[in-house]
Amino acid sequence: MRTKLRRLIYLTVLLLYSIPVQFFISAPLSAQSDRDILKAAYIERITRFVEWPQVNKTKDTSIFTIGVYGDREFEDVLKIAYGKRTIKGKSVEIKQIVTTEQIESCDICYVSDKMKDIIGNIVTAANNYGVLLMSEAKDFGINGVHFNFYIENDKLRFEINKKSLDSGRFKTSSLLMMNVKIIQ
Amino acid sequence: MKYYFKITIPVMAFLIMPFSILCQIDTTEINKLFEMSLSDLMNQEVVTSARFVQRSAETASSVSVITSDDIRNFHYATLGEALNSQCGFYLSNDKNYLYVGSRGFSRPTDYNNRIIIMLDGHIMNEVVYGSAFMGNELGINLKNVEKIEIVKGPGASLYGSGAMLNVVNIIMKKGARTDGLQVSAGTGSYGKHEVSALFGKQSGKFDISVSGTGGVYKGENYYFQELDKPETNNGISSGMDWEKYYGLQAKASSGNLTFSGVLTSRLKGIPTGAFNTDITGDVSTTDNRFFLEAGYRKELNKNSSVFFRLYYDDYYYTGSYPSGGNECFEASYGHWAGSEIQYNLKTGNRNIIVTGVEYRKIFRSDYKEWNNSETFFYKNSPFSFFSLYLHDQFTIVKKLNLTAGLRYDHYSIFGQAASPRLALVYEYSDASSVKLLYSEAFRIPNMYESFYQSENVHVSNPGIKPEKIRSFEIAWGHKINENIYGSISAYYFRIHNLIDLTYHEEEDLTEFINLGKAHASGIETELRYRPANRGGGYINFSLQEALDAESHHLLTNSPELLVRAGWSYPVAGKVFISPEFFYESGRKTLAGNKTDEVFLFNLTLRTARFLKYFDISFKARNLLNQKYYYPGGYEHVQDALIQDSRNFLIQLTAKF
Repeated sequence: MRTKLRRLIYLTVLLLYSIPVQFFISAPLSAQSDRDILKAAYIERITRFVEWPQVNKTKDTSIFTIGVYGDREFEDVLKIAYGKRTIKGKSVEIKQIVTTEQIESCDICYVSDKMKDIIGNIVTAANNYGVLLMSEAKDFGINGVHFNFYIENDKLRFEINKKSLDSGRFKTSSLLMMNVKIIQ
Repeated sequence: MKYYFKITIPVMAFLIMPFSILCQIDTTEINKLFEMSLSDLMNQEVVTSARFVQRSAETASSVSVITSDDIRNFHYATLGEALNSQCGFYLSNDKNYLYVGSRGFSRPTDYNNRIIIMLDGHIMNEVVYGSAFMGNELGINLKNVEKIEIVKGPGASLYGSGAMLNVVNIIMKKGARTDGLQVSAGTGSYGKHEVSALFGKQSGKFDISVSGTGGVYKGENYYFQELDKPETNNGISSGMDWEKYYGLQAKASSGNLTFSGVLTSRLKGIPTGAFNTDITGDVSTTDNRFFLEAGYRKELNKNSSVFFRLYYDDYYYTGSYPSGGNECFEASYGHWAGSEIQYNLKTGNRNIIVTGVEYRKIFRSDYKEWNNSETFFYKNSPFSFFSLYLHDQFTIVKKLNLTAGLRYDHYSIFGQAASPRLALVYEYSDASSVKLLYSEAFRIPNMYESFYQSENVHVSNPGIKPEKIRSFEIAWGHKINENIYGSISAYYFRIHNLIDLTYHEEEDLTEFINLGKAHASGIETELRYRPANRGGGYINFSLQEALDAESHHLLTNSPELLVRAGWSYPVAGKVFISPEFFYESGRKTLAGNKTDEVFLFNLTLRTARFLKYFDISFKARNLLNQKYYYPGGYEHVQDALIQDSRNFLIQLTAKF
């Protein structure tokens, strides 16, 4: 009895130990995240219906840069999903963004919901530098993010902030506007 | 063994951890998604259960979910095995049927008739015994399951009789989700061979999903000391634990219309000498199940919808119980049909109302016992019932909801019953909610419990009453971050007029009677880690006490402590290692003894897709080959029945 009880305690401690250890391992991806992979595919499709404004940037124009602000896991998904893929004929670079200033170097910036306190600044910077913003966060669409994903009836949908797209001088195909929620 | 255990587990755990950083993603699915048009992408379903469904925080019940990833990572082969990983659930296997206990309550040989099992909302419990299938007799290919939703506590206010302890809804994948053909074949210990297939496709508004499973199993050989007599083959049960089964399931939908159906059959040998049968020859049971359902859902406007369904169900059971070389057979037929109309309405910002009407006619619910020269017993007990239910989720203030529900059932032969439910749910933050839950449920005695009699063996009890349960629960759930969810709940329930098999020692007869009262209380806690893109894991503890309310003695087949833990590690880019651990304290047997505590270790290895189409899964159950026992029922000479020893299964899957 005592031996078995010791086994139980021993095992429980081991498991409880292993859970936080796993959390701290910043591992690349292994299994498929339906939602994140779907979002990655959406991004590529959406770019086919968007025309970027002419903005003078210091970045290499032969590379299409997708920045990810505050979501390491999605950044990892994108790195794997876009390994050898191209967008608009350009090779794709996935870049971690840690300051609002770095947004300038992106063509697209995906913003995590952790950035809600500075979303206004991010939108302003993005519209100044011709950076298309995407997110999946409550109220981010209404706060100016151009494409905001959400779940409806177990399906991934997105809403478009037309006013913010106009402010950033993006042009979008009417095909994109069909069957999506348009706010503002 | 002690040192083996001490060394292997940590070594395995520590070897696994560093490798997890090397893992990669299977790119086949990504390629497929990137080839889709925007409109096709918009039709892709997101497995909301891969993360935590946000709305579960405000449901008026304590809910948990087993996802398709859980099923795949831990290679759950049966519904019972999947449920065994959940807080408060535990299994028993009498070598004929698999039984699931919940919150300390599992009466031996109750055929799971206090749990409702649904397949996409269609109740699978048959009407003769009320049994819910947990093993291969369910006949569902779990690879085609999107998720399994488990509502803990009574659910009769929506589902009527039998929803005493849990309501389990198996949600199948839609064709669009499968999008192709998947075929599996496996082989394993004790002559186990199985095949399964699923096909799914969507074309415009039309979606079809078809799946099947089948297998054969030679089974283990046993020696039962209690049967060690010349007339019972000196206790040697060899080649008697066999099983053959198949199941087909199909679902097609077009716009608002859905058709679904299931056809299953399972033949099982009985190796234990149950009901004084021989342990040689043809001692077996057969369970066949069939249903067809048509459903129509119409959105009337933005705030209301109506759902109508019509169904026909069929159940057929036979048993061969030779004793002392004399043949004896039994059989049951159940045929029933019904329809339901449900109306959902959202009024303003405060009320979400669900109301419905259901009528079911049981044309046939019979039991026959005979041998080659005479019929010992036959009775058919057809009946019908009519139900009305109304639920309202009322928002008192922002984030504070009160749900009140009531279902009224009128049975043609058992009278009437009202099942109320009240729930107060407070979502005090985006990540946390507290629920106060109260519910009542009932179960009508089935035809077998009321009318079956057998000379010198069992006496009937036509006056037996429905049993009732009242349950109180407080549940707290907290989403620690996007991937980690923790929950704690404390509950108390009381069962009145408990229907149980009782042995009258003086007359040497058994009888189903309203035993009196039983009550149970407990605390459950769970931490579950479901990352969006990695394996994941869980650990849960259940402390529970189920007592006879009069004697205050612990109920039989009721462990007081359960610990379950599992973890799925991605290793070296292409393999998932998924160990699972189970601990249970001992269970009281019918003879008043107590079984030993149980410690089990399962291990699953699964590869990612290779050669474009294939993956391999390997599962070892009871890897440390622990010899363990669970209580038997009155029909067993054995006070406790030995459970499965170490066994393996390897399966190859091809997806096109």
